[in-house]
Amino acid sequence: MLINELIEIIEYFIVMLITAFAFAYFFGWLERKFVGKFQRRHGPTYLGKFGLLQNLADFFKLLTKEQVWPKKADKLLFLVSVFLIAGFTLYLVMLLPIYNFYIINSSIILLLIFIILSFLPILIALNGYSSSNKFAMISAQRSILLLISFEIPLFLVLIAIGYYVHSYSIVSIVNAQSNLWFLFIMPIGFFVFLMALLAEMERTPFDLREADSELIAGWLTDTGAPYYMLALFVDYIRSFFGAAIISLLFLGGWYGPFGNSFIWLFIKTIFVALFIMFIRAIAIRMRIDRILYFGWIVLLALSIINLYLVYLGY
Amino acid sequence: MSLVKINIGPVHPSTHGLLRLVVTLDGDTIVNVEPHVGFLHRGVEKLAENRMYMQIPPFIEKCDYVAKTAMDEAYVATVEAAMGIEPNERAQYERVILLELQRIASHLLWLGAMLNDLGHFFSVFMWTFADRDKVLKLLEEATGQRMFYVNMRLGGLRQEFPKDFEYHVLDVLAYLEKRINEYESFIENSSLFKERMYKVGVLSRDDAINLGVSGPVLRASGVNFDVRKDKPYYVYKKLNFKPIVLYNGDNFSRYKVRILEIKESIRLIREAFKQMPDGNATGMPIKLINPAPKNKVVRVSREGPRGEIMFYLVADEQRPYRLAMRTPAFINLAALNHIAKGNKFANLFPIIGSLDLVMADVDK
Amino acid sequence: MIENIKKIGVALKILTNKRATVEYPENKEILPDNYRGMLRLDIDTCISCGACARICPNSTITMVDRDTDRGIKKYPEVNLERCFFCGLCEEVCPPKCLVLTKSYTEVVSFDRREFIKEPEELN
Repeated sequence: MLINELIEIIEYFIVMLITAFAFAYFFGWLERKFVGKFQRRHGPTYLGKFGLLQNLADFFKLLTKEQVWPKKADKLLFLVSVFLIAGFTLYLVMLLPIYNFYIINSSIILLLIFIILSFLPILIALNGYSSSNKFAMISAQRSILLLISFEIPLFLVLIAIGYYVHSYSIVSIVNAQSNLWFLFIMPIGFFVFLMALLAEMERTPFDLREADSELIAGWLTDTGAPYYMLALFVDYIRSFFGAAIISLLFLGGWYGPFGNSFIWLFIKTIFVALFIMFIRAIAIRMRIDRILYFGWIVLLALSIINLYLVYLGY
Repeated sequence: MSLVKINIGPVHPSTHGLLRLVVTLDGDTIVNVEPHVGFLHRGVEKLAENRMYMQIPPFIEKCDYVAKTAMDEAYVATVEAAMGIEPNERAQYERVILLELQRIASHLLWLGAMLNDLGHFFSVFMWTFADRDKVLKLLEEATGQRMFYVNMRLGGLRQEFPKDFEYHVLDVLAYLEKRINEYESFIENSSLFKERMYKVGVLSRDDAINLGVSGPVLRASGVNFDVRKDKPYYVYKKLNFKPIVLYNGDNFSRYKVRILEIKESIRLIREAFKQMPDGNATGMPIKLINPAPKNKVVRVSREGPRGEIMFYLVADEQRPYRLAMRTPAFINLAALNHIAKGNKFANLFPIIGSLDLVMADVDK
Repeated sequence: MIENIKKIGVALKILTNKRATVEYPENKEILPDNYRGMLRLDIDTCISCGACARICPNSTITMVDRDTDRGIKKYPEVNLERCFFCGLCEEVCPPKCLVLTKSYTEVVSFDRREFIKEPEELN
């Protein structure tokens, strides 16, 4: 019946939303404590046991600050683009399956996810342009350059996976890994996918957006406090999404030694997130022309080699 | 083909202090860099004309808040030269030990700040500050304060070293040796670091001599000049000091010279403790200072962590008639325009980081 | 590329180092004995010579009148906003009644007027 399906959809929506928010909050805490331990200091320890309530306090503090609009800024365009970015990222998280709890199992869902992901640079450009600040515009242009040069290797790896499994549905991809993880079948593809996803999530070593030694704060220079918090939150949701996609596509999803359940998926997601935070703590930033060389020449060649090897091995 | 002027303002997260740069760009290439300085000028040379000789060291120390002992010792040596006082041998060894400890602390801070400029996320910064804290604890034990020591008196120090100071220093030096090797292998084993530092910001040998730079910037371009060897003072001849010279003149050479200088300082401190004679290193108390001869002109140069510090003093009886200071960072900053021309804009901040600027040194 | 993998190995070893920071104010660091902190004046021994006011490079100390049983005497009054704790006044004081102690928590306040310290015992 239509009403039953509607109730199912709303129930799924609420559960995924709560999961995404909980993970984004948890990643924020984990990053501060883990990077703090690596840098030989305590992270937050004062609010709540082990500093768990620190992010909540920051959330409330940022909500109480005043938003100042510059005279030449375009208010409507800015608001539309910020909320659209948040909306699209949450929509992407909705489409991920968790064991036998998914909303849709069509055979082209992976393509849909990455097409929506590649729509985000346009919104970022609009956001940067509407600030009417010189630094924000330069940084938005660099962001677009970064994001579009890493898309072709990403799609070539997806084609290799789809070729191997004969479908683009995430559930069948995970089910095809019941014997051996894809990490061991295509290691070059894993490396290319990891680098490209680090660029899509705008993390070190590709974090031009927060290059505070070059262009003060990138396209978030002129954002006031509530929208800044929204942008950071969306950042953490994007990294949750990236970690979940890697553990679904390459690390076997919800398969584990003591029976399959969604706990294994969460554990793998947390491991991948720890690895991404570790890279943030140890790497220095690449220059923009070296990033373009890396994306257009090195990664493209590696992904073509990967596709060819999968074709031969099959 | 139009030129764009960008203003990297005085309030910026990554210039080391208050420095304003007006950069003219052609696309992504730098055409001209013009520094505007003077935001931190406090008139130290004028303040010194109204105060007695031993009231001035607190002001001189605040001219370089990273390596305070170097400036303090240079000033006190100038007054000693005007009055004709020579410190005894034990006082010379103790001054050398404090100077070399201060050099280690200054280079550790430079290392953290330089990697921040490259885009690192404060990791090496936190480690080097924790290590610098250990060295500051040693200096606190010897002098009484963590930041502004006011420790030099005419003919010696303000107080002797406490007992057991030697064992504490040797412990910290053994710990620092391990740490410096760890940092070297962590920082240099990275292809991203090599891309950004090799052959970037090259300063040739003739240009370095013509522009008048000094310190590690000069020695990284192949010129074998160090005040501790060419115009030697105190006991550096007995400690077999050799300057460290590299020949490429790029960012990486300037980085490497400072790392090797830390290791050389560790060796010098160990040698100085072995050779130090017994005696008393306390200098003259403040109440007993005789007036200086009238109209005596002296000039003294010393090697600070950033370069050559020179003091020029025209003495009057109780107060200086004129005190002029030549600080190294002011002249190193003037070489920035020559080095940065023709580079890409993203290379500007690593170049500024490798010159080791402290804005209080530039502005006095 | 190989060197990046070596770097990750070095970083994993660094992850086992101990923490270097101290959770203040529950745990504090231990200061040496000749630390130059807050000033203290012993009013009974002060001979009102005024040497501390004359040697101070920053004109922090001024001598103010106080009524005692021997007539009006002058005692030092310190403006803590201008003091930079160099210790020259301690060195030049003849009866050694002006000392710098190890206490550093008393040099903070919410009101600017509390920084001018009278020559009573808590100087």
